[in-house]
Amino acid sequence: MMQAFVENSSLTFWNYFHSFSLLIKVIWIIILIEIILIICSVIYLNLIRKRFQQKNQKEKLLIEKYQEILINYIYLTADENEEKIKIKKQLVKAIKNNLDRKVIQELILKLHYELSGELATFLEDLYHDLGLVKYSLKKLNSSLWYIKIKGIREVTQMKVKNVYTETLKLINHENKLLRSEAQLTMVKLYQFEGLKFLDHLEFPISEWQQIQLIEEIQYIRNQEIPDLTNWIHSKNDTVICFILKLVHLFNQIQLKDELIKLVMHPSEKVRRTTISVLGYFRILEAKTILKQIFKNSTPETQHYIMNALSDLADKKDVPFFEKHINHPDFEINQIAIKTLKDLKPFLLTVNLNK
Amino acid sequence: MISTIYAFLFLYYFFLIFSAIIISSYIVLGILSTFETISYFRKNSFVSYKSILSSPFSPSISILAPCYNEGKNIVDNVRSLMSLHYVNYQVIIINDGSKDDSLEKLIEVYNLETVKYPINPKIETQQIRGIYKSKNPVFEKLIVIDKENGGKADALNVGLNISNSEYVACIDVDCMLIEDSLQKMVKPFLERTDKKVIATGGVIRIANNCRIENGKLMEVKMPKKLIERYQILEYLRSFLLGRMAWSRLNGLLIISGAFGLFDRRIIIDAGGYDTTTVGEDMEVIVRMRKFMEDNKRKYKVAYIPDPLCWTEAPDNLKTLQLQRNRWTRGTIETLKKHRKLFMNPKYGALGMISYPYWLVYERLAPIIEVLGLLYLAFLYYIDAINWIIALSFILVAYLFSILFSMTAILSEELTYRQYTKKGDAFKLLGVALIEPFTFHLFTLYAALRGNLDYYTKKKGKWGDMVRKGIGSS
Repeated sequence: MMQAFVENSSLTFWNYFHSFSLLIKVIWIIILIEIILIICSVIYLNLIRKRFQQKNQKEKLLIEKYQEILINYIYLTADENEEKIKIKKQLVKAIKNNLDRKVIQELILKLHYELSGELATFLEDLYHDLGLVKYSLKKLNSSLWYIKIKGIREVTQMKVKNVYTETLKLINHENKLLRSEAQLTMVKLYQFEGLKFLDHLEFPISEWQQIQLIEEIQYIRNQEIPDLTNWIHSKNDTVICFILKLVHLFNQIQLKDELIKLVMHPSEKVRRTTISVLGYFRILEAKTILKQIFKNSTPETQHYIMNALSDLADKKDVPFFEKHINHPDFEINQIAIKTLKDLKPFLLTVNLNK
Repeated sequence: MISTIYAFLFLYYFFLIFSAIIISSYIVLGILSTFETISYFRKNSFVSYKSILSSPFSPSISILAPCYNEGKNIVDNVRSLMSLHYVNYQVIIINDGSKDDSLEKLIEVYNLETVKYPINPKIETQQIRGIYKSKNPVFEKLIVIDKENGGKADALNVGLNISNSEYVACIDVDCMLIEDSLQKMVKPFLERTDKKVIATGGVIRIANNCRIENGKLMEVKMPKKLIERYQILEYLRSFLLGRMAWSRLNGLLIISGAFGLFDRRIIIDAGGYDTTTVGEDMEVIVRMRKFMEDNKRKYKVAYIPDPLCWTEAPDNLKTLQLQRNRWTRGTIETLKKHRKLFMNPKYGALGMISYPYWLVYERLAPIIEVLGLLYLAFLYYIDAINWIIALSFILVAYLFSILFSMTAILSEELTYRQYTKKGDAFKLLGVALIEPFTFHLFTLYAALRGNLDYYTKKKGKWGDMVRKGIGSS
């Protein structure tokens, strides 16, 4: 009887629904879809919040546990070898579990980042001994870009040096983040030798990436600075700009003839960076060419030229700056006035002569 | 009689098509934004900001913070701005003729003295009374300018004339910036090699009820008042869903006046801020975009979804109404001023997509909505309502509004998770359920008042909004 009632009710409902116009039918289908989506969203929201809390709790416990073990391990002395072996065995057993391995791996990397010297070396050795390098290399071969980045970061931090070929392949990867990471790895692991990636680069290096690379390069110690001349003639304008920053950073003033030639480079960005470096190095031979190109340069490049000429100025340049003290561009006339003030004794002489 | 029937049919199909397009566009924007936000979040988790912190090649930034009668919090606000983590920046506070003791407090606490300073007169502004710098080298990066009152836009223009940095961050002085906000905001300018980034906007978050100590955000808490929760949900929808998608399409027409980073040369060349509008934040972006289009230069207005800037939202209806009124008038003024852009193929996506969308779905939407309600009332009056159709439509719209809010909440949960306390997400869900019948009607009213005030030439200035000061609650 119940079944008959249900059947009748559903029949009545369908009959009722079919009596509507097409528009109403479509609207009610949309309403049904919306209700289903809202219910699914609420369930999903609830799930992710619960999962996040549970995961957090579980991870927190594991972090506390392994942090203690790891700190204990790195502070063990040479004659506590047995204890070391015992801990290693415990960790080897633990890394078979995915979550435990993830926590141990992250903890070693975190501690390594915070520590230096002998303690950091202990952690690198432990990372190798536990076989965690294998997992990092596996990540490096993943097809997903973000897993690859994790892998590449891990091998870089743990100084796994046999990844040159794999890393070089990634410097022209279509994913910008991945290729940036690969370029950083080249420099971090292979130092100046790693700069060879510039020969193979097919993409521009962004200003952001240049800053990241320079930050790594400036801490390279005990290595001879390579010859930067070839890269100054690179077909990639951003490589030239990057090299010009290195020329500045490492005071490669012996490249001044090359720098003066670059003032006529077709790329405005290259010209501007070159002009800044010329000013920084106080290369007096550049004055004539800078004055020559001033008039036909864009306003922004003119600012660079004025700044550079201001750095190079002496009494012979007074007429040039006097000519620009009423320049319609505020920044240009300010540089001119400031420079003339710096050259004040000469300026006074000129005025007196006048 | 026949013509009346045609008129009714026309209105019926007009509202039907309008609703269908608006819902479809929200679906597209929502999907696009969610994927974009999650993708940004994942990518950003790999980005290291360490290098930009100390690099000698980090570009210079000037923070321009206009201040008007902010005496209550000005000292803390400036302290907070001076403790940002960036290597190459200065803070320029522009006292816009405050009637309170803002300037005196700054002079006393920061040990200021008047200095001579070169000022680029490129943008015309109200007169400057004095420029101050600290005698104490600790506050070397602080510059305080005292000027005649001229409004927020005029104060920002003074800042633009004074600054000689590559980028300028225009902010509301009472906003609280997260310490690494400049590093994150400058990144889009430095990472694009194919286009010139002319401006970057960030998400604005609501700081009401949050625990703030010494100008630093210590704990994010869900506000207790319903009016504040409504705005949290509204901001999540607007910033995480709306603007993220427009940024992806390079069609962003607004960067919030509370926090935006601009290429200084471009903003000056475009003419600086317009002092005749109350919506200077939107107007300047439209003008900068127009300037780039006119000069045929490839450009991008970038946007980042990180919660970098926290501000105090109105906690009472009167202030909220004033704020929304101002926003509406600002939108009308900007769109009217740049009406040449409308459906103008010369301006590409700006003229053919962004402008028409803003005109129809931001500028005209409240008016069309009210016309729809009047149409419904008229049909009721003449007893011509098909209740099944009417209720079905109302239900579709209501459920869609909840679904859209849910997408914003989920997007937040999957990325920045600022509201971590148990039940917070469900409190927002509760707000989403009642909002269409409450807060939405109020904002509709405020938008209509804005229209009315615009056409009756009633004006309110930026200093009208009474603030308690974040962290004081």
